[in-house]
Amino acid sequence: MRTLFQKKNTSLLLGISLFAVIVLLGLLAPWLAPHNPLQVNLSNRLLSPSGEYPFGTDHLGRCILSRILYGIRTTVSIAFVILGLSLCISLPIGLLTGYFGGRTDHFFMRLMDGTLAFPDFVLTIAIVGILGPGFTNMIIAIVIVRWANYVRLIRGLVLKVSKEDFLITARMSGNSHMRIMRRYILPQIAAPIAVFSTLDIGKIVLLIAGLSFLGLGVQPPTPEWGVMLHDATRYFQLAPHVMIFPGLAIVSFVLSCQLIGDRFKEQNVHVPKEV
Amino acid sequence: MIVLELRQVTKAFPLRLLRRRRGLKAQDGKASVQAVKQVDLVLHRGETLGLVGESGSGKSTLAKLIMKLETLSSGQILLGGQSIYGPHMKDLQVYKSVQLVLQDSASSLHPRMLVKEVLAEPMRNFEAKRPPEIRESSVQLIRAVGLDESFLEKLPHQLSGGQKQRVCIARALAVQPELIIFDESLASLDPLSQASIVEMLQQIQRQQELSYLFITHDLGLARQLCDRVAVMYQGEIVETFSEWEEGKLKHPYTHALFATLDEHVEISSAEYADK
Repeated sequence: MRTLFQKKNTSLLLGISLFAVIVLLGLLAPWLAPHNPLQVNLSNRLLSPSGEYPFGTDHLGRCILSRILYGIRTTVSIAFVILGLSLCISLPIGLLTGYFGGRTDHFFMRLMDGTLAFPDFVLTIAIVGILGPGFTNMIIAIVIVRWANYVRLIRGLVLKVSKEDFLITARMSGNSHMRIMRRYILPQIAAPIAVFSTLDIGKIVLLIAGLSFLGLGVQPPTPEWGVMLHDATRYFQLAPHVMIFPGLAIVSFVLSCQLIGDRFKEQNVHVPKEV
Repeated sequence: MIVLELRQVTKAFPLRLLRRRRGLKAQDGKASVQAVKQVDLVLHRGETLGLVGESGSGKSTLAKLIMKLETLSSGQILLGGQSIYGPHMKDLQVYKSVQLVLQDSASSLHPRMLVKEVLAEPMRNFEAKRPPEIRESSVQLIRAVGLDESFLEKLPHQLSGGQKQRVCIARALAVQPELIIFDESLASLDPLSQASIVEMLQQIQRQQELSYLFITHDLGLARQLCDRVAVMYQGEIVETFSEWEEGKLKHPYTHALFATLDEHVEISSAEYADK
């Protein structure tokens, strides 16, 4: 880590700072938000940014800044839940298929090929269309779409590590297969998974916002960035700030994830030269 | 007492699988490639059997078959009179009796495990030893392979090639096996380190009455260490001898090997004379 900072990785620092600030703002939203994000005040409709409403108000007179701050909680926490669920499902599958191979591996490979054959967004919309719009269904749909990417990544990493002689030695030292996976393989593949997850969290946020924008994800009046964009479409020409600020929030978060992930990818973290 | 017995051991790799793995084309309509052909071998307690032959002759495949790292096509492998594929012989029971020391000591050790952890694992897994006993045994083992106690606290990257190989040997000894297979284990070491490890192995063998299966393509090294030598050529044992007299040898390939030995001795002597 020290060498990373010594090389003045401004993009990485910028990414981490931006990410930390956004998460911190989300955590402190109840104390930082100037107004109740759900409070409707029709006499204050579509107000431009001012001292009282720094980002202005939306078509129902709600404070956009407050809704964006609370929106961090909704969007980012859903993204982390989806990421966690995807990892919980794909980590054991990826480890087992990569380590043991055989028919189970073939079965999951074909299943993954089927899932990965469709673009993420199209498949998510199709699944939400089948399950019906809503918060839980959106999470299920995104997990179904994203898990295959994680299984493919984890399986590939396990296959790479499995060629190492120290796994043969570990087996000969009397370790069970489960212990080998936990103690020998998992620490070796943790760093690339972390990098991939960092990059992916941005994509997941985009998927959540995209689905909510189409009315298939989080439903109004919950403060969520995609929902805010959806609400703003009709008033964009009249009050552009209604769309600009939620859009900027999405761009900032996705950018922070990309900056962190790209920089770690360039550092080639999966091949530690020194321990 | 017979420790290891191989009866008509054959290993054939299906060409279809090989083609898929290595992109090979079918050869003369053959369905499979026989890496090991009807090998019969017997290894007695306290004996060192050398297995020599050129690269690709099937020596390492034979070692993998004994260690159950490859599946047998036909024949029998008996450890202490019991088939390793018998219902009562699980993998870990095989590893309790036989240990394998690989050629690449650097990749045989987990890069993030201290030497003391490497040595502790087999003792904990096979003998359920407690930490104070493990500590005591680790000190004895590390001394037995010619290193001092300070090496227990080191990571693999802090050791030289010879020291790593000594740690690998200590790990194999920690299991207290009846047989250790050395698969080209000394090939990557300099002559001085080789000589020192050979001497150490002979000393350990005298003390513990261990059996060694010493796989090498270096006939000179086999002459130093082995009581008996089996010559492997194109998957078959073509000759077994214990007396190093070329006149008594029958197979032309063994004669060719002896010729390289003479050449090697001449070159070594010439190099020494130059210095």
